[in-house]
Amino acid sequence: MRTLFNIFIALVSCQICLGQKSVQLAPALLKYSSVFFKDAAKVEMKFAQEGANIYYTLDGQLPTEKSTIYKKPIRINKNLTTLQVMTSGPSFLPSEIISTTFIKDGLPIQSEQHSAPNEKYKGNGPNTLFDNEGGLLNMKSPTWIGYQQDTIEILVELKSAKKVQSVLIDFLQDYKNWVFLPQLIRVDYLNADTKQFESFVESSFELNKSIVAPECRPIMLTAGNKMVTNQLKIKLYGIKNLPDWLPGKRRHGWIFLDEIKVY
Amino acid sequence: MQRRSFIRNSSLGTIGFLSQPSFPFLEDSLLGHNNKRYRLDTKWSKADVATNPVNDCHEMVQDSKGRIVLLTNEVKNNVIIYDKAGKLLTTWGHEYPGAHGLTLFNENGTDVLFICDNSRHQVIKTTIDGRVLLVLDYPKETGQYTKATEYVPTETAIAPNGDIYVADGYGKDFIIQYDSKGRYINHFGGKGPEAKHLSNAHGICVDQRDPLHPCLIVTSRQQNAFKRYTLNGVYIDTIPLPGAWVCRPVIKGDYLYAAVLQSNTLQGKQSGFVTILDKNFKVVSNLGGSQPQYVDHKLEEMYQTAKYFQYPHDVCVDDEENLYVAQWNSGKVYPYKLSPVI
Repeated sequence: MRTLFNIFIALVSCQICLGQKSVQLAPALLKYSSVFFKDAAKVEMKFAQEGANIYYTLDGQLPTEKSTIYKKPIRINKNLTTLQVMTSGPSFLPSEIISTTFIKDGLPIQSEQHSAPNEKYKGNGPNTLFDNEGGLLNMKSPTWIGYQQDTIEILVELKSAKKVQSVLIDFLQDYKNWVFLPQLIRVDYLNADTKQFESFVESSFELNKSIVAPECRPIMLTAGNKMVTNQLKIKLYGIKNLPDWLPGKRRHGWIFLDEIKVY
Repeated sequence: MQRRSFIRNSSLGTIGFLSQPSFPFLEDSLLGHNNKRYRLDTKWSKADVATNPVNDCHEMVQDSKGRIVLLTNEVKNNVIIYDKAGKLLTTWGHEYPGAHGLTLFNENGTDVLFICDNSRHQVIKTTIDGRVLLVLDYPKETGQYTKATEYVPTETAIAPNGDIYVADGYGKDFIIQYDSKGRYINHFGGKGPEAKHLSNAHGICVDQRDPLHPCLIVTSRQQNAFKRYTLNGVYIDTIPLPGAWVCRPVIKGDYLYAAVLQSNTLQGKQSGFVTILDKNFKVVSNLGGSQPQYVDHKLEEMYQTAKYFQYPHDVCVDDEENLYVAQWNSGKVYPYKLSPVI
C-alpha cells in the first residue's frame, strides 16, 4: 500500500513539474437486470472509446491489462461472485475500478414480515426482501426498505423446514446520506422441538472511516452448525452513538436493506 | 422469463494502476468523432487568477466584434471579455451573484446581452458593456407564480422579431414569452407527465436552420432530452439524448452543440462531455464521450469515456468554428478552447 502511495506521489510530482496532466479514462457501463439471480446473471459491458478495452476479473483479483478482455456478455452463476472492471487504452490513464457482487438465490422463502419501515422507503410490496431485485446504489429505488430506528425485527418463513447454515442480508452503505450497516445483527432459528426461537448466529460491525463511496454490502452470517428449521428471526440493531467525524447532526442513522437469502 | 437488463451504477474503487510507463498529455489529445474532431487547449485563458478569478463559468457567447464573452457568478467580474487568443480585454459586473444564462442578440446592428440571474430571480438586458436596459421580474402575469423565489430563470432565447423567451429551468420549468419591450405574451412547458412538459428546462434557443419552419429547442435536462416547440409554444417533438444531462442547445451552421453536465450513470462524479448533433438531430460526435451509436434508429446510452471535462456547462462556437467550453463547479477553472482538426 505504501509503495502504491509513493508511486502515486511520484506520478503527481512528475505531472506538476511538466505542468501537464494525463487524461484518465472513465469507467465502463455495466448492464444487467439485478445483482440477485436464480440460475445465472447475464452482464453486458459497454465502453465506446476508440482503442480502449474493458478488462475484468471474477476471482477477487484487481483487474489489470493482463486480465480478461471483455468481448461479449458474460454469465455469472456462482454465488457471491464479484465482478471487477476497468478500462484501459493506449493513450490514457486506466479508469478507476468498478465492482459489483452478484448473489445467488437461496432456499425458497414462503413469506417475510418486518417492522414498519419509514414511510418514504417502504419497498416494493410484500416480496421486496426476497424478489431477487435490487443491489442498486440509488437509495430512492423502491427495491430498498429503509429504517431510521434503533431496532428492526424481521421474521422469515421458509417454504419448508430445511437444514440452514447461513443467512445473507444485502445492505446499502452510504455515509453521505447517513446510511450505515447495523451495529449488530442477531439471527435466531425456530427449534421445532421446543417451539422456541434459539440463538443461531450473530455479528457486529464498526464504522470504517476510510469508506467514502456508496456501496452495496452483502453480509453473510454463517453459523457453526447447520440447523433444521422453517423460521428465522433476524434482529438488526442500529448504531446508537455516531462518531464525531461524520458530518451533520442527526438523531439516528438509517439502515437500508433490499434482500435476504437463506442457505 | 427473460429479465430486462438496465444500465447499472457500480461501486467505484480506489485509484489503481499508476505504474504505467507513460501517457500522452491533455494537450496532445484528439477529441470527438467523425467530421467533428478537436484539439484541446486547457490554457486558453490568459487571465490572472489573482485579479480576475472565476467561480462557476456558466455561459459564453461571441459578440459581433469577434470577442468571446464569459459569464461567471464571481462578482469581482461577472463578465469577462476575451479575444479569441484568450487575452483578457475587459471585465464588468459585480451585481450578478447568481449569473447563469448569457444570450447575445443583435438588435438592429447593436449587440445586447440577456443575463439570467438565479439568485436575483430576474432577467437583465444590458448593453455589451454592462449598462442595464431592461429588468424582467418574476412573471406573475402567468398566474403560475406567487413570489419571486419560485422563479429561477436559467436561460433566454431571442426570436428574430425581438420576442424574449425565458426558461425557468431551476424554478417551475415554464417557458415565458415576452415581446421585445418585456411585455408578457404567453407561457408554456412547466412540470408534468406529458410530452409537452419539461423537467429542468435549463436551456433554450431559436432554431432557424429551416427558414420556413423556425422553432424553439428547449432542454429537459433531467429527462436527458431536447424538446421542440413552435415559436408560439406548441409542442412539436422530443429529441432523446439517453444518458446525457444536456445544457443549452447552441446552433452554429448546420450543427447543434451542447455541453453535457454529467453522464446519467455517473451522477455527481464529474462525468461530463460535449455532444454535437447534425441538422437531422443525429449525434455525430461526443467530445470526451462515447462514440454515438444508433441501433434501429435509436440512440444508445451516451456516457463520458475520458475525463477531459468535469462539469461542462456551455459551449460557444466562434466564427472560425473553434469551441469554448465553460464549466460549472470544476475547481474554478477558466474556459477551455478546442480547435477543429480537419
